[in-house]
Amino acid sequence: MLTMENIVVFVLALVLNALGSVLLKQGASRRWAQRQDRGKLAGTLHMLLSRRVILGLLLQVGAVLGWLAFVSRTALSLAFPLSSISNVTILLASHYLLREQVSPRRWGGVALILGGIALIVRA
Amino acid sequence: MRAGKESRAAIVNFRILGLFALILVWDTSAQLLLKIGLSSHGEFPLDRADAALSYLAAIAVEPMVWLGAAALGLAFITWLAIIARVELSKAHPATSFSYVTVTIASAVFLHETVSVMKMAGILLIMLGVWLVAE
Repeated sequence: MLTMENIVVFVLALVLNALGSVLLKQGASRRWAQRQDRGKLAGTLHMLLSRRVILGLLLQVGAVLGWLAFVSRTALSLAFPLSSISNVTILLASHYLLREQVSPRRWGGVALILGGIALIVRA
Repeated sequence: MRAGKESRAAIVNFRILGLFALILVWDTSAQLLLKIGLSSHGEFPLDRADAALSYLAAIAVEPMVWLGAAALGLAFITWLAIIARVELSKAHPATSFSYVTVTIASAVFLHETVSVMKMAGILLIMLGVWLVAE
């Protein structure tokens, strides 16, 4: 059931997931640019020790916990299709926080996903 | 020679289709097993921190949750095998079929009710994911 509590937990998981993904992307990209001649293994470890990567991982763990709470409290045939909204939240975060370009075709996809979710919530 | 080349291409496509079928099986099993494992301990408590912690401790040693995690691991390995052979932008939308398979599995194994409207919503979502993935 989509009670207020369940919606809050789900939205929280989505926000943590999107922000966590942005931090991972920023941390990994910056460290990768500074890797110089560290080599593959050292370069990868160097990436893991970035503050943004560590914080991003923590947020992702929070997102997983929120998701587990949501799934345990709702029907799977509701929760799983709703999780597709992460396609939208990650795209919004990439566009507004990372300034990534988004084509009209992809915005159309966002509209379809939101429309599908509206149908599922009312079903 | 030409016929040989064509049949080899057909075998490769067949293998990729098989991998897609396999990842849907792992993915759907993972979601079902996780749901069954979580629900066997009731709902995740949101009102008290100590209750939430003991719920987490209980599901951390729940066999169904571990089986679900193992299925997720197998899905990940299958995913690597797929993206090694297919372009990511083409492979990613195909995984959105799991919205259909998980919903059907929820109806069959968990006896959840699935309406025509819900299935219509899922079809819209699949189309949307396909467009978003480029």
